[in-house]
Amino acid sequence: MLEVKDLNKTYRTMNAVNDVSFKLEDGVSYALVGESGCGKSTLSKLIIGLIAPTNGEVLLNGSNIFHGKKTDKELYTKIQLILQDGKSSLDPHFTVYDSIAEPIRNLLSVSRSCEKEMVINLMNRMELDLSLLKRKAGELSGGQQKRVCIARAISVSPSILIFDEAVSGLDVIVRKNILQLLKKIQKEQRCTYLFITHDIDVALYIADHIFVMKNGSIVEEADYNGDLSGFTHPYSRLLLESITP
Amino acid sequence: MFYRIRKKPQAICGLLIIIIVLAIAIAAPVIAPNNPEAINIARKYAEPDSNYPLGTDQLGRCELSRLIYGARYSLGIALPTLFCLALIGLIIGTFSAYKGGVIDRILTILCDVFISFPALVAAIAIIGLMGNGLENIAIAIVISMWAWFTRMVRSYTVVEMGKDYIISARISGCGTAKMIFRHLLPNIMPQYIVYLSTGVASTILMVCSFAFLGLGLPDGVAEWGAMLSDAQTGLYSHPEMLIYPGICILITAAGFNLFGEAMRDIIDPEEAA
Amino acid sequence: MRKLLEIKDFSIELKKENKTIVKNLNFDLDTGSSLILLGESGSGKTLTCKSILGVLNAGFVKTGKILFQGGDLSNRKLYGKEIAMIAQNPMTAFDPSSRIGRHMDETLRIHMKLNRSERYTKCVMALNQAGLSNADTVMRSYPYMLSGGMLQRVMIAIALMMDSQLIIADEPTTALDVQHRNSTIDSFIRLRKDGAAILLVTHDFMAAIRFGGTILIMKDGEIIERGLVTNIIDKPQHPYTKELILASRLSDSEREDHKHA
Repeated sequence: MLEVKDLNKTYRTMNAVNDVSFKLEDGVSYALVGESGCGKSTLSKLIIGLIAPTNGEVLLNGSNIFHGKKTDKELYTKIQLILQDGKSSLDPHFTVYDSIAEPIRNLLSVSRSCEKEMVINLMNRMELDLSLLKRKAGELSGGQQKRVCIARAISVSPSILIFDEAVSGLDVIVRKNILQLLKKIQKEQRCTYLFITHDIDVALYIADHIFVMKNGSIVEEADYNGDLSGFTHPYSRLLLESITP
Repeated sequence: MFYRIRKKPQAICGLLIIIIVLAIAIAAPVIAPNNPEAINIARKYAEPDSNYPLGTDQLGRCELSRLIYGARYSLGIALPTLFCLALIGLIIGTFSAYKGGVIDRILTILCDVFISFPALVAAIAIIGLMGNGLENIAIAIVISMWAWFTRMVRSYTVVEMGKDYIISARISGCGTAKMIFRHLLPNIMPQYIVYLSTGVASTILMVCSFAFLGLGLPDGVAEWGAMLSDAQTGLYSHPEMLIYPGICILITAAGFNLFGEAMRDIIDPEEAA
Repeated sequence: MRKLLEIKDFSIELKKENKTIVKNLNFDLDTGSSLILLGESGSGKTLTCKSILGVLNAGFVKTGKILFQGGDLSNRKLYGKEIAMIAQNPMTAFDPSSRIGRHMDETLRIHMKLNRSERYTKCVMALNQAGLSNADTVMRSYPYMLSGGMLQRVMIAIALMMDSQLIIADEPTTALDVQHRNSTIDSFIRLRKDGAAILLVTHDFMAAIRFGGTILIMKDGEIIERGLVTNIIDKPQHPYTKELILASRLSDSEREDHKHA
């Protein structure tokens, strides 16, 4: 279980994240919705420990990720992050095989043959043809690159997956396929999802519980199971209106 | 990539020149018709003939042999020097960019200090301190140029560090060593190689310039820059003594530059797709 | 009344690989009307757009005709104010070292003979029309000071100023947040009402629905369906169109998913 307590991040004059607090329960799918510049990306980097907060805590199963002897490696086997641009998230001169094997090699101690098995297994789950393993990451299509990124992230079986605008910029049909794949993965691995997006349509599709963020603060959060009445804040209603053309 | 090299006439031309000059430098003792340092005043400024294909200079030394051996000196000093510069730049540059913070600032300021000294002034000072000699020319060049290479590598590294795949690599558990050797270096090398290719030309020119000014090389050595310097006295009577080494310097530097620039065109555009 | 833009049997082939990317396109656009070109990446819509503007890369071979006001465009680059393009990424469409006012002023100076105060008035009016009421502040700003949505409106204002006959909008909603999609499309609707012919190129079905009018759906270089947006939503003919519609409205997709679950 992940808890964020009074998290603040200030850059010189700007307050990117403002006293944010929330809890993520195991196995639940969450979405964080807000416009560009509201602090969502900064928040995602704080949660995974890539940047340090000005003050506040991020507690993973009770212990603060910024304190103590917990090494980065341990943390990354528990939380993973998938970024927006699949192409730039992959090292252009790595093959697909090496890209997927990298987290396995660095974070898990398994034999080469076991690693190979895991990579093939992941490729199958991602519905990617095995012939792509020898290709360089830059040669794949947008959707394929995104699947490789997802494979990397779930290879270490993290309990929490953060998606930072991970399906923005994909063609709609590709986007839908990826989202369906992600739903399937969540059922299989029983992990927690935090989907960060500006597109409330995506949020409503994938999440059970939605946080609405504006100017660095969370203005509302509500459960969602088909019924939009839980959202009463005027800003939430404003965002919801953008779905209908 | 080699396929693309073959397609570009610029690259082939440059590569050909480089190979020819290198071959000449290596095979100098074999192909030079005479001893480049053999003085014979009686034969000064002789006309070209079968023994002296390009004639002789003001001290009766075979001009062609001197030009051939000149390749040895120019490349023999420039290439190892460049190698040292490349290595120093790579190590300090990546370290500085990767560490960031105070270390980066200190190293950057240090580079700025060294860059602000004109290479020539530094060379004069160093050779003045250490005396003549080939190694001292090399040392002088390294001391005046290392900061340029370091700064270049640092900026390449900083650009790469800002890219998403570095974040991705970090959360995949890459430590400092893996990050530098498996991700940063392979991705900056292509651009760096382009920089180095054109850097060779500059280094050759520097060696020639120092020799021209009489810095670092013992008298009478068959080096193109030194030959240019010697040819000054006979400028109007025997201009060819100036033109021969001048053309050699030109072609060699041009060869490396052509190749370097063609490499840049090859490595950079993915728009070719 | 002559057709404004006519594309006749237009194809684009990639020389290197002998591949036909755009196959035999046929469509036209009347003055003052609008057309949506909808397709995903690889559908050929961007290349078609570039061909109309005359900025197609050298490796492509074009066949067929593009006629603008009856004149052949296929082998000629079109400059001038007749066709305006609103670029996809507003953040990179402007010279970062130039203030917006200067950019707009220069554009006017090149194409029209007006004195300084006339140009200024025209700029302000256009910015207001495009939805930016603080025209003065905008004109004094550098591009980096404005948001993507605002820069988009500046581009629309420039198209308005030029009184262009044809406005080509290349993926105007893609670089923006979904929240701004509706207001952006509304600006284009206003442009259309003011008499400009608009070619809207997009992959965003929701944007297409809001914009309305005739739509051409492109896949793999061909037009697989055409008609009015409203009709197509009600009765999509081609299976790809059906798939597109379902994927664009994820909430509907969810209901489909649950049906099959």
